[in-house]
Amino acid sequence: MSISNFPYLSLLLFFPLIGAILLAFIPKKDTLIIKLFTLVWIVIEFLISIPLYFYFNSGTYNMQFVENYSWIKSLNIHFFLGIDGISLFLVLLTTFLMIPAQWSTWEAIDKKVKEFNIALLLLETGMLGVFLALDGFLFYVFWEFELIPMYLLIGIWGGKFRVYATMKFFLYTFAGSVLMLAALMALYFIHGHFTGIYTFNLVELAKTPLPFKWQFWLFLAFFLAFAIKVPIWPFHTWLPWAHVEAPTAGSVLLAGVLLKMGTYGFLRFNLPMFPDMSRLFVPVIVIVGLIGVYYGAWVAMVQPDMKKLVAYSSVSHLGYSMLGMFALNRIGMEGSILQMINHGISTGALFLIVGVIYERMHTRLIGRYSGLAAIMPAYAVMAGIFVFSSIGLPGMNGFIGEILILVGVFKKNIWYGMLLAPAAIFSATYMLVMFRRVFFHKPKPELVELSKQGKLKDLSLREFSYFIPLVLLVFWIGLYPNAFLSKMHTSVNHLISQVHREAPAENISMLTGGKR
Amino acid sequence: MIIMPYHLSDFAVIVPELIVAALMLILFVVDLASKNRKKILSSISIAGYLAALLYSVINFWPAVQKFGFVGQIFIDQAGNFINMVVTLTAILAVMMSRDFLDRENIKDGEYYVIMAASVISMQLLSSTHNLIIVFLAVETLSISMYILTGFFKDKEKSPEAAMKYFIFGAFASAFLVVGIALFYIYSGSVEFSGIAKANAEGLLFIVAFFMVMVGILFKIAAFPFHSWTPDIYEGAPTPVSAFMSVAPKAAAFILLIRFLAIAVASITVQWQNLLWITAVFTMFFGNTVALLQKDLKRLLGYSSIAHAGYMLVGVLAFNHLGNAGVLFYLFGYVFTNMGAFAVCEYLSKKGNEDASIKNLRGIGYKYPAAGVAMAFFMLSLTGIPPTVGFVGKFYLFSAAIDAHYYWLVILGVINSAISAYFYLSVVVEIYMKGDAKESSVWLNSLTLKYVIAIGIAGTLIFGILPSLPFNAAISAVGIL
Repeated sequence: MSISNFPYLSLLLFFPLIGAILLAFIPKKDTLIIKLFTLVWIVIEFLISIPLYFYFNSGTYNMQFVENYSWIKSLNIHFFLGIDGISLFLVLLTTFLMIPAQWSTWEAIDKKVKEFNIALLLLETGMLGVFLALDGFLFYVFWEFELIPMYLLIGIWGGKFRVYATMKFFLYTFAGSVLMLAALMALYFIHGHFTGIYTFNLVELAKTPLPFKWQFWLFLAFFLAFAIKVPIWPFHTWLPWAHVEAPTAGSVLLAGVLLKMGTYGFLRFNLPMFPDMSRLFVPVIVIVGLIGVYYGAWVAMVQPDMKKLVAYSSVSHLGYSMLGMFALNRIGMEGSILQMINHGISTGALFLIVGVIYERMHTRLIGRYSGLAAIMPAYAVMAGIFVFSSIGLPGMNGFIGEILILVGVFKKNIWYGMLLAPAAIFSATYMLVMFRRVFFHKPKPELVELSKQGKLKDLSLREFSYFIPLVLLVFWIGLYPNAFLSKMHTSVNHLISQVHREAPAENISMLTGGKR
Repeated sequence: MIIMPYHLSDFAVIVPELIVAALMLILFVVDLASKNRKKILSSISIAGYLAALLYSVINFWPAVQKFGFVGQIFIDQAGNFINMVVTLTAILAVMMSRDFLDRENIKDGEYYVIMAASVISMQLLSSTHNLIIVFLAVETLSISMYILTGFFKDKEKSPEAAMKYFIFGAFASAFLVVGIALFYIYSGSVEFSGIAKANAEGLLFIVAFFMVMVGILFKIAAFPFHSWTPDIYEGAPTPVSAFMSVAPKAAAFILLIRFLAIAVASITVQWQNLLWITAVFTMFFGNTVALLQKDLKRLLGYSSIAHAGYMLVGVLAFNHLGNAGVLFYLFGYVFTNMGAFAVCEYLSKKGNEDASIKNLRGIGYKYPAAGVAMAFFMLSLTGIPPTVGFVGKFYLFSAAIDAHYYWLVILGVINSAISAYFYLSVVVEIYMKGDAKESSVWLNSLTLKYVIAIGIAGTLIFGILPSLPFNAAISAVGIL
């Protein structure tokens, strides 16, 4: 297979879109065919993405599998795709998570099945586009485009307050991203004035840092957009709503992939393009990151609703990721990227776990359950695995990410590390308390009754089969993280070296002089 | 005054106008001659506008300004561009009117004739540097529009809207004509180049400038001369509202750009300050008041105010990118806005122009194509890729950034975010509020469906591949 000449990433990017278009021609009533078609299509998509891992050259930080076509000549906008060690795993995570997400909806979604699957496929193209795009304009196009299917997923198939939740989700993200658009344009012109090269090419833009004054404003604008997406405390208020109201598949992809766009944005824009400001901003990120880690954990502790608990745990976990990233050393950064993957797997899986019981009982309140381990043993085992993976038990994926982050943060500043370390206790607490209350003790009589009537069955084969690959990944990353980390080293090192550059002297009078 | 003999070659610069004038006469004759016609007038109109459109497309290149009639009227790329926008809008509006007029029992003879008259006036408006001709064109345009607005003679709202429009319009015209007179008194000329030569320090000059601006800003529906828009859009027959929301604005914008760039270039800093405030208020007013609207046509009315505000941002940038951005935006706006009004009309009941947003409930499932179309137009108006609305805004705001209007752009994108709320409320109604009421009637018209299809196609294609119209626009603003 000659992967270098073939427009491989375009294929990867547009394959789901083609699927969505084809799906439109399948009659509405054949729901089984629609579901099967979508599943097969996204499995093929995943298979298409696998060679990226094997053909990826971990010896270079340059973009790989690059495709670059001129798109809008008058503004030098290109259709420019490529991946490096940072985006590689996010792409794979996206194609991978689609499978359990879609598979989990076979019974949960019973109305408007066709529209649902079309939205899922459109969402996949949008998400992949964000991670593959290396042109700022193209990035923005996908960044916005991906909002629409998610907006529809929450708004149409969501819970009781779905309209409020989806509007909040959309408006929050949109408000952040329009400011990013303004910043992107400013970046284009300022970089152009400064270097004479007018381009949206992200690699090119990262090569020349701007004078500090411009870094300052542009960093803040990008920070706001990405901070809302991550979400970093205090921009997280849309997240619990969106997660709780979204259908299971929506929550899985929202937590698993959409939130990673924010962290990815920091890695692709803020750190390499505004290095001075990034270094200066470390204490701010550390403070909001620490608040996020603790606040998320504490709020999760008191949630009566399992889904909300998992949602707040996201705030906490992504706080870790931000801290690791802004440790600005290799270990922390790799931990941060790994944590993104881990969070996608563990939290995605936890949402699926909640979805399973919700489908049967139509409630997610922890208080309504107890002793499920006796009634649904296989389910309990699965839930246990992902709970421990989320806590970060050694041997599982969460541990590797958190320990790397912790080491990285300690290396950066011992006090930051001291402040972060105790957080692990709290994340263990809320997860274990929930686990104990739902799965242990004596089963509630009404649960036993339902079980006897055959209404509360253990995992079906379908459910079991979509958990298996997730379990495998949990242990694979946990036991042999080098399979993942080794692909990141070069790109991360390059990024670190970019972050530690100095700003050029502030001497561009043409900018200030021309200012009115 | 010396009477200049006209050469035949003079008429070469007004061929688009002549085509539409011929169309107008043919419409008259056919209207008189044939009693038993079946919507033949609309077919003739479409053919006529198509001819004018094709003429503008074919003669778009090369980029020169051809003068005629002692230099008073000319044809250039910018004029041709606006001609295209106007005739395209007219074609779509006629397609929307074809079955609509029939259903509403409106006699279509005068309707198409008056529409043709308005098109001529807009073509004229986009091809002159002479304020007297501007006034002539503006008056013809306004009077045609008053009549079209009041075409629902036996309804309450339509004549009321026409009356309101007339009173406001007459007021604005009065300002315009006094402004022109003052310019003449002060500079001895009514031509842009003559005005430009005058000393701009005088108070009279500033007063004249303000008065002319009132006239133009009224046509654009910019703050504070916007208040007529929603009432008129609501009261007028839907195809007329659609037509009015796009075509006259296109003509007025090119006039504004030319007037500012040529006639009052000496006071650029002052007019930029004035327009800065106007643009910001226009955007904020349009978007915030739109938040409260329950009627779709009123919502589109306020939205069109806001969009005029975005375009003013492009005008303010005062560079090629900005002016071209305005032209491109107008071009894209044709597809999106005409499409949105077409869906609105598609779902309207006979004799009942009530276009409450609630009527859209659940149509996404009952009429999937109309639902998707409306949702798509709303996304384009919000400025979300991959639509032409996004690309248009991108051009406008980039131009402003290039001109160092950072705060203006920030305010602009904040407005974009505000507007997302009400545009998406329409989408919410379409998809997320349950099923459609059983009896929503729709207008079964093939041409109307074509308008929606053209709207979607244009919005999507030029959203993904904007280069062709944008390059044309860039070339067009090279000479104003």
